[in-house]
Amino acid sequence: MVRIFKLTLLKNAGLHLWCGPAFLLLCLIASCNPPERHELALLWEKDKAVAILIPPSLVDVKQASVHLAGSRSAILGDFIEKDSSITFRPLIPLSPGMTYEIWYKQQPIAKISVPATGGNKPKLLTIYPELDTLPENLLKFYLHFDHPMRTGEVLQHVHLLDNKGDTLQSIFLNLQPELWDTTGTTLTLWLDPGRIKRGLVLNKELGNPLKTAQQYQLVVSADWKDSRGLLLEKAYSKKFVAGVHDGAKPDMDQWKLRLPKVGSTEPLVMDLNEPLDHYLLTGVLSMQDAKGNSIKGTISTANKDQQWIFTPLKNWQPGRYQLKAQAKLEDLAGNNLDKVFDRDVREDKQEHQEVFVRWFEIRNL
Amino acid sequence: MKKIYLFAAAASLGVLLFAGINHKPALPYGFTNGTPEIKSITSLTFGPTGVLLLGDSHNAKVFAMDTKDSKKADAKAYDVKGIDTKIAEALGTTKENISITDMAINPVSKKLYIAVKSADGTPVLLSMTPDNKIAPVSLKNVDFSAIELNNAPSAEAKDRRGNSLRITSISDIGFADGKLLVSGLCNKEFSSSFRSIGFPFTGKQEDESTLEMYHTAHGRFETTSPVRTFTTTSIDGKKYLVAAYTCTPLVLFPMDELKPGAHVKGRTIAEMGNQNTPADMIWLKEGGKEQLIMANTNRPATKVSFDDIKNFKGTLTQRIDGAGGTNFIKLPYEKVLQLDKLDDSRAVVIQNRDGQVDLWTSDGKNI
Repeated sequence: MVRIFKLTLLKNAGLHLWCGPAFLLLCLIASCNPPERHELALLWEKDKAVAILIPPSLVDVKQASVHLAGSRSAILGDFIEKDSSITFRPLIPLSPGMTYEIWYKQQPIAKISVPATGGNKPKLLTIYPELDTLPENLLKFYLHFDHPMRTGEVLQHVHLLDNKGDTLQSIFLNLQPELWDTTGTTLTLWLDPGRIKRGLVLNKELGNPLKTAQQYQLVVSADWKDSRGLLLEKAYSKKFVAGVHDGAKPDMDQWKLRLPKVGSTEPLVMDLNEPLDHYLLTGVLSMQDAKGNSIKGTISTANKDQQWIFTPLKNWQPGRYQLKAQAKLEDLAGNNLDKVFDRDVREDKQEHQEVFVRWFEIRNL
Repeated sequence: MKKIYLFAAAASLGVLLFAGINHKPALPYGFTNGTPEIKSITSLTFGPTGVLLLGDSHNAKVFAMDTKDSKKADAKAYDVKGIDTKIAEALGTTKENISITDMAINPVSKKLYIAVKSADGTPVLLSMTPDNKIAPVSLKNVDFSAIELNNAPSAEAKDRRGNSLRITSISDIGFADGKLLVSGLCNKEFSSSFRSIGFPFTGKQEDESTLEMYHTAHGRFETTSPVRTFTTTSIDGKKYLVAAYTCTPLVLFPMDELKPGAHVKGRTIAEMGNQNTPADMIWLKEGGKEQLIMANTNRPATKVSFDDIKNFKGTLTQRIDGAGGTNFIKLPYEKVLQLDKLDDSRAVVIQNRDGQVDLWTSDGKNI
C-alpha cells in the first residue's frame, strides 16, 4: 500500500535561465513525456512504514542518503532502483510520528513524516489464573494480550501491590529474554521461586511474596506500548486474596468424572478439585481408547481452569477409555502430577513417572 | 575403424554430458545458501573461524552463519559514549525504540558484532570496527545452517490456533571443543535446560542434559534453576563447564559428562550473593594468570582467579547467607550489560552509566 504525503522542497532546484530558448525547448520536450511523480511516499507492509519511495528526478542514489530529521548520521538501509523508481528500505521499519529527510550531495532536500500509528489500542484480554483466591505459593501469571507487546520491558510495567497500595519489590523473576509465546501475545511471568520456597534465604530475608489472607493487586500500567507503538487501552488490574500454602501434588484419581452417553458426542467433563495451569491443561492431556488409539476431539477448560472438558468428534462407543496426562501438568503452585515444587532433589527418593493414566468406562444404559 | 568413430562419438558425448554438471564445491559445515528466517537474535557467539552462532529464542533455534569475516587483524580498543543513541540514529529512530540484546567479538578479525531489537521486534545484526563505524550485517543470501531446540512438538502440545505451547528461551550460547552449548529455560513448567550439540549440525534432535547442583542461596540441591550464563575451562587437563545461576552460585560441571539425556551433578564452588543476575562471563589474563570476569545486573562486576577455582577442591553443600566459597573481587563497575573478550587481557564492555549506555574497552589493568 502506498500513501502519498506532501513533499517539501528545501532547496531551489538550481535552474538557471541564462539560456532562455534552450530552456523553453526543454520544457516543450518534457511536457510531451508522461507526468512524473514528484512526491515522496511511504511503502506500508502490515501497518508498518517499511520504506520511502523517492521520485527518481530528485536524487542520484550514489549521492543520496536518508536521515532522521535533525541528525547528520545517515540511516542504514538499501537504495533499490527498479522500474524508474527509487525505494529506500531501512533495516527496521520507520518509526511512527518521526520525520525523515532525504539528503542529496550532503544537503537535506526533502522530508516526509510517518504518521502516528492508527488502529485499535492493544488490550489485555486475560490474566491467568482467573480465580480471586490464589495459593500463597503461587508460581506464575500468564498475561494474554490481543496484540504483540514490546518485549524486554515487562518489569517496568507489571507490578504487584499489597493492600496498602505499596509496590512489592523483587517479586518477579528478572528474565532476559522474557518468556513470550511464538505469537508475542502471551507472557509467562514467574514469581521469584527463591522467594516462594520455604526456608530459603530469599524467603527468610524478604518473606514469601504472598501472605495468606492478605489482599493483593497485580497491576499492568497503561504506558506499555505494543509492537506498533500504541499504548495499552487502559491500565489493568487483578485483585486477589492469597489463600493457604499448596504443598500437594494434583491427584488425578481424585478428579470427578461426568460421563457422557454412549452414541452421543456429549462432552466428558472432569472436575479437577482445584485450578490447574491454564496452558498445560490444554496441552498435556489426551484421550485414548483401551487399545491406546487416540480419540480425536476438542479440549477446553471451564470454571476458571477447575474443569477439563473433552468433546469427541465422533460418537462415544461403549468401552474402556484412558485419559493420559503428562507428569508436567501443574497446579498454580508448580506442584506437578509427579512431584511437589518445593523439594530437594537429593532427599527425593520416590519413583518418578512421565505419564499418568486415569481409566474409565462408558457403558450402555 | 567404425569402432574408433563410435568410441570418439561416445567420448564426445561423455565430455558434453559431464561438462553440463556444475562442479560447485559443497559449502563448509553443511551450510546452504539462502535467507534464514531469524525472528530474534537473543545471543551471539563465534564458532569456528568466521562462523557466527545466533541464538533465536523466538524460534527456539540456533543459526550458524558464515560471516566471511575471517581475515586476521590486531585488536584495537572500542570506545563509544552513548552507543545506544548512536545505534538508534543509524537505524533511523531514538534509543527508546531499540535494545541491545547481545554482542560478540570475532576472535579472528576482532570486529564487534552487535545484536539489536527494534520496538516492533525486528532483529538487526550490526558490525562495528574500532573506528566506530557501524555497518549492517546482511542476513540475506548467506551460507548458514540451523538447529531446532524444542523437542518435536506433538499434536497435543499446540494450542487451538496451532501455536506451540512450549517455548525454550535461550539464556546463553557458547562454543567449545567443536560443540555448541545452549542453556535455556522453558516457559511452562519451571525447568532449566542445557544442551551440548555437535557442530556441524546434523539436524538430529538431541535431548537436554539435566544439571544438578547445590544452590547455595536456596540451600538445597536443585535441577530447575536456570543457568544464566556460562563459559568453559580446563583444570588439571579435564574440561569443565563453569555455569552461573540467578542469585548467584558458580558451579563446575565436567564437560565429558554433558551427553544428551544425561543427569550431570555439578560442584558448587562459589556463592556470589543473592538478589543478583549474572549477565556474561569471560576469561582474561592478568600478569600471566587467568581470571574469570563476571558481569552482573544488580551488583558490581566480579573477578575470580583461576588458581582459586582450581584449588577449591570441595563443594558447597551448606546454605550461605551472603557470599562464600571461592574468593572473588568486586570490580568498580555496576550495571555491566554486555561483556566479551577482545584479546587475552582486554574486555569490551557495554555498561549503563547513569542512564547513558557506553561501549568501552578495558586497558588490561582496570578489569
